[in-house]
Amino acid sequence: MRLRIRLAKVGLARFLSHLDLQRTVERGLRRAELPLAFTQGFNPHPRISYASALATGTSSEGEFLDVDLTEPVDPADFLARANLQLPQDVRLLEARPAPEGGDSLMAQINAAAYRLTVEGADQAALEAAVAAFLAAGAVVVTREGRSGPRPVDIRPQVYDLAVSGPGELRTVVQTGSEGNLKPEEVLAGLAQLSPNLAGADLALTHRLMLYRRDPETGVLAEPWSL
Amino acid sequence: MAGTLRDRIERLLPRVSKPARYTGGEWNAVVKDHSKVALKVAWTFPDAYEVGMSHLGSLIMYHQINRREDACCERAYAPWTDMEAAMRAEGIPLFTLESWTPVGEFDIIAFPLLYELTYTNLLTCLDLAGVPLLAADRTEAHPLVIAGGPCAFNCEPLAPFLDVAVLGDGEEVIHEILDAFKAWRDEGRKDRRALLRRLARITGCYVPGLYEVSYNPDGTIRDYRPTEPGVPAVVDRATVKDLDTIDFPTRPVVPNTQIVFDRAQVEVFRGCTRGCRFCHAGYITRPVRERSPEIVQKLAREVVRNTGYSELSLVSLSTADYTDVQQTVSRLSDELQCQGVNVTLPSTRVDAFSVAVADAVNKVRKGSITLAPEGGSARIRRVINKTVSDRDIREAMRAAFRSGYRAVKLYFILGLPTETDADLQAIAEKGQWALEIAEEELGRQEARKVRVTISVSVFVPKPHTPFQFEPQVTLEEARRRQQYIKRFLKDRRIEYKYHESDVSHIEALLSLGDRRVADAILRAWQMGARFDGWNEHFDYGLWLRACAESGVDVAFYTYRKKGYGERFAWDHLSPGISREWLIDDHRRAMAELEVEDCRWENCDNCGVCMSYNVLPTLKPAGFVGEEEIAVTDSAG
Repeated sequence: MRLRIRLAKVGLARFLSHLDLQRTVERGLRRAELPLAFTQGFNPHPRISYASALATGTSSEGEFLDVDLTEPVDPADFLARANLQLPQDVRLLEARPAPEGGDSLMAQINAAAYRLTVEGADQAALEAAVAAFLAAGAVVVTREGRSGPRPVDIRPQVYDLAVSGPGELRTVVQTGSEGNLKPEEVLAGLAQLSPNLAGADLALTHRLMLYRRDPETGVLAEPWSL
Repeated sequence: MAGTLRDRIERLLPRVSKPARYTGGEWNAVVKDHSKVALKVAWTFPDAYEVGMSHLGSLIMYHQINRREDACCERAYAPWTDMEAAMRAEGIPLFTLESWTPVGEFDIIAFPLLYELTYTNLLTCLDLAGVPLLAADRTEAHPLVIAGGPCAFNCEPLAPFLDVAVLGDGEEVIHEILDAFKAWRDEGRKDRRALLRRLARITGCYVPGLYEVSYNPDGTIRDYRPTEPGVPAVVDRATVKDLDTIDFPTRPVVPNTQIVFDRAQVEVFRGCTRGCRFCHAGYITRPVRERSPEIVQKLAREVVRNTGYSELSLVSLSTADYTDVQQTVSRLSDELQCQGVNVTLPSTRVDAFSVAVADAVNKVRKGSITLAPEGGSARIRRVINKTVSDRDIREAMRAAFRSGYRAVKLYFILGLPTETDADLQAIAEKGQWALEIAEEELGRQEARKVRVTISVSVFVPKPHTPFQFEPQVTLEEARRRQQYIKRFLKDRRIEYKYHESDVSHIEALLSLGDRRVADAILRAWQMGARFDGWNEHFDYGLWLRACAESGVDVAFYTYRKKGYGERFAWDHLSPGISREWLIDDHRRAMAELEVEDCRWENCDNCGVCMSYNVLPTLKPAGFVGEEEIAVTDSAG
């Protein structure tokens, strides 16, 4: 049986790296004595796969993982048992049986929604910058690559962007193997368009959800149906 | 208050490397309500989180203190240099991970001392805690600063900074210390010296401030004298006689981030009497005291269940010597394998039996196997009493290749007393042996894949060992010897590793130093020395300048051959071994004579058992009954 799980990493646990999170979750599931399926081979480990790696310092309520089990477990029961054995700031929020077949979650996820908390930004300037961003044909920022810094047009990678409160933005951006936008690049793009945002600081980055975005229609599908 | 400090710390974390070192929130961390405990202890490890969290002794002591209802123990670690800078810039004090409480607000600050090159970090921790560095400057309002662990047996270089050093096994003596502190505090927390006098009467507690040192004109020590009545002239070690009666942590803190030894640990015995003459641990922890196999197995199951670790290590100074090793290992291995948990042993003795034991648990993956002959030639191994024959080495290598290993790591020490170039050449020769045996066992084709690592460290003479009288080889000579070995290593399958000898030189200074060396430590710290045990931070030139400025002659401590009659800085800090025996054993070393292991052979009267009324205890299976196992159940 395979369960698909939505996980939150909040509070100080946001400073865990992706590897740290994997380690922490694995140990919690082991402590919960859930019937984990193990890989074959010399060094068996539980078959758990994540939809996407989350950056150190970024919190989330929209991480997804698939866990293989050797026998059926009621999803609600799974959540209750696992959460009893996980640190406070790492929570399993929802579990459902994973759909049969299909590619891995990692291969299918191509978009992510974020909430960005911006400090030191004038609200009017923020609103103006967002409007300018959405209207712009191209927004070029500098991205650090393996071969040094290079200019990149991030506009096509930002599917949605809006001011959602004082100093708060919501955005849906490209993620995954075909192209990955770092949330801080959105702020860098806004700062380009509005000099008044030069001193603004990205205080918190919080991932809300992962999606499969249909490139034709732009429709977003949550991982449950993938 | 704690809330605001926590917020201020949180704001630093996006800017520093490995922020998960500072977040706490680990599984099994013990968070108590401070208003409900009478005593607060800040267990402060003077090295990085990933090193401190790997230390079993710290997990044991954390559990010992927290199992008391009237006390809490919280953890702090030396902040990495970027975090230290950020904390200083923001005026943030050293804090504990359980409750973000400033370490300076605790009743007791306890430092484990495992490695001399962490001493400057200890000063960083005190300074960031806002506690005066010098014990003499502390008042009744300041925390009591205590330290323990192997280096406590010569803590003289730290003497001015410590209120109390604790010698020996901490599990029982810590409760006497806490009780004494509590009594003093209940009496109104008046007169710090009264507390220190009270602590000095506890077996295992050394109060450096209650001794006066005098020196001879040649710079050697003339005398240590207690300055008050009731203070012992020689401080005895605290000794746990039977491990089966001691509570062991089966709910250790489980880190969220990667640490050095990222696995469950169960201690199978304490002490080692193999008598390797260079080994500090082998003299300060005598005699061998085994834990019963039934209890080991029970603890192992519990610790695996309570942590979720995928690896369990059975630890001791030489686990292959554990009486019931084969049965315990195979039973646990069979049982835990179906849960995806591997059983591992931390080190392998150099003989075929040990390789077989290692092989039994290492069914899963044949990586590399580590063998430590320590000395290259049979002659030098007799000098150091590493009772391993050339035949043992060959048989261990043969067993390793036969059971599927393709990589062998060989550890040696360079600069041992009486060492000649022939002994060095013999080190290189062992690499060649491994390749020859690989070809015999595997054939030429397969033997091409074999990798042999020869790793050579520089000998550091340690207090309380028969080699305490010996000088260290000079830096120049150590470097020459490192290069000399290299000459004989031609095969590309052999990798040669050696440590920077200048680190070992400062380690020798801090191991063999006396109170006067404290000035150099303070000066080095003021000049910026941090994390000296880490290559990227160690600065030999800085240390030499610090020593010069504080009038410390490094060669006097490290390069001088010492007489049998010399009064050492650590002579009043007793692990129980008699001076006469150490002299005899040093003479035997020079005559290339071995001494037997008293665990199996005759007692050689080293003095420990007589001093502390303790005996070597081997525990074959069936030593304890079911009822006794229940008694040692750990409450967690």
